Amino acid sequence: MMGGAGTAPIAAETGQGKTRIAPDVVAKIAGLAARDIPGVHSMGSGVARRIGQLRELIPGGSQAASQGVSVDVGERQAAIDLNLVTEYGQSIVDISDAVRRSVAGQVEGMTGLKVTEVNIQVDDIHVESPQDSQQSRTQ
Amino acid sequence: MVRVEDIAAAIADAALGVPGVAGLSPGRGVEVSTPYPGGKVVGVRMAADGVTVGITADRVPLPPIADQVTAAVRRVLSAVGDDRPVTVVIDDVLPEALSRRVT
Repeated sequence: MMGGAGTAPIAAETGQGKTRIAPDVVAKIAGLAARDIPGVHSMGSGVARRIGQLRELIPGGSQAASQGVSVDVGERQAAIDLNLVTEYGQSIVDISDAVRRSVAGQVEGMTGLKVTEVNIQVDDIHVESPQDSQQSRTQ
Repeated sequence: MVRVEDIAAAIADAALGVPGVAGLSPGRGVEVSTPYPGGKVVGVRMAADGVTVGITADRVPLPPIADQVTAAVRRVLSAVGDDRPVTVVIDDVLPEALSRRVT
């Protein structure tokens, strides 16, 4: 599994020339498409989320759109793995269905690549609690 | 291709159009909703094994309301060639319903 790094750009079209789309592009589109779904709180495994939070502290810094996304791209196909944190009280099945549809639709629509699979791993559940804001104040 | 959220929204409209339905309800447990990019249709769940619609009733008796909602949802689904089973959940009844008995 490639970590979305731009190691091997891929050919999406041939004919009078080739169009290559870097895996990073696919990962970014997939990340944004997944975040669009209500019920997706954040993305990435524990370590990636912590690094993402640190990046947010830097002025002008923001979480990478491709955080929590890894893509495997072939000539004309892409397989996408996602790590999600969902909101407590929401159906993980419903959210993953919606994420899968959104990601496959956006990636296929924007890149022309066929999305063969969107694998989703839910790493954590986010619980909204009044203590959240209290903790950040006392720390 | 018809998008799931469009079907869910059509189902929500159909259910709201039934006399006796005061509103759609997400339920008390796991939220009944259909998430889509940028929002969600609350009160309608489009699962692979069936469609669930949660409603709040504003009158009694309840069974005719449930029957009419089921029929309305069925009409929307059959229009797009979908034959998933429909479950209507009456989540709540408005207090004034008891004084507005319609038969």
